[in-house]
Amino acid sequence: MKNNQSENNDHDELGSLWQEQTEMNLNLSEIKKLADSQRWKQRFYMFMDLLSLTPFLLILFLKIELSLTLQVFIALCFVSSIIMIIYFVKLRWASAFSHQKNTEDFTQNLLVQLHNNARIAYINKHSAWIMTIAVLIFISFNAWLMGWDGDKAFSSLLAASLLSILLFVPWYIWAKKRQIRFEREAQSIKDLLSE
Amino acid sequence: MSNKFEQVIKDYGGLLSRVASTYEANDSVKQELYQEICVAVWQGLLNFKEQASLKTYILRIAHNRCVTHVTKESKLPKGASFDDADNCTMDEADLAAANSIANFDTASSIEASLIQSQKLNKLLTAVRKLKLPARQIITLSMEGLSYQEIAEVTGLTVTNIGVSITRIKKELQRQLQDEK
Repeated sequence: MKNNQSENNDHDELGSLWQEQTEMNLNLSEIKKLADSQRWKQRFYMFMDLLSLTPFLLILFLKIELSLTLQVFIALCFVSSIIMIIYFVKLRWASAFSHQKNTEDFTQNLLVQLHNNARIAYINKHSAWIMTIAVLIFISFNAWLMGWDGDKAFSSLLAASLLSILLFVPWYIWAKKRQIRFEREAQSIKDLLSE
Repeated sequence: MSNKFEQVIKDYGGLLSRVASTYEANDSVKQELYQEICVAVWQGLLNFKEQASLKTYILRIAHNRCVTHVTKESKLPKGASFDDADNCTMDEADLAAANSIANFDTASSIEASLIQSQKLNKLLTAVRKLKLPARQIITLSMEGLSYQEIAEVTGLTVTNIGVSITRIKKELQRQLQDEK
């Protein structure tokens, strides 16, 4: 009985000490501005996601004539763009409502999301050199189909290699940095949770 | 919406401010975090269905916002943010905490305020050292929430909360005693 009373007193003491913190100042108009700007930003990002489909729609509506290889290539890009847009919209939707969940669910979702993002960054990182090789194989194959003109094929391969290096080296570095960041963020949640 | 938000800040501003203190020691970063929490609450109010209590609803938003903050802050070198209060001298910490204690006008009340602010500062440091579930449970408990309400915010079971509160309280008391 005495122990219980002592525990309650300790708790009351801690509670009243805790309540002694003073409230920080808050600029309400600044908060309203920030909240509005964030809402518009989210809408703008969604609009930009959808806007990325317009080149494909233009090709479709303007009925531009293309070679079969290009048609297949554009169709593949179109399908992958749609998949990516659906994924992005899903992520934005989840992010918009995730803050209302209890912390246990929120942290687990955040952890899964960070792991997924790290995985995507890892895939992006390796897609850089895979794309370089794929482009070089495509050019070689195309040159072979056209009856292999040594000088022309060599200059095409050289140009493609330089362009790939210019594009994909920064891409690789960017993806690697993102992968490291997401892994570090996931680890910080694990550290925060682990007893 | 604007009026509703102003009312929420009027009613729960202090509570939200203390949530920010639970996760952040550096004054300027804490102020930023408080602002971020309030922006998240503003946006969350648009979707509030009034099925749950407003208090637990905004506390969920606030704590989740803080978890995101801790995650993002992990990019900073150690000591740049959350550890600042632990690294600064006792005098700096006490003076900062003394500012957060009620008005004083006599020498004895200054002394009392300083002692109280030292205790508060130790409590805050000890709370920030706790892992997330323990930190949430004890701070929500010190805010006067029932076990059921704490469960609604944290997602833990009521039984788990009951057991944890006693254990965490003892740990905090021990740490406060040790540092005396």
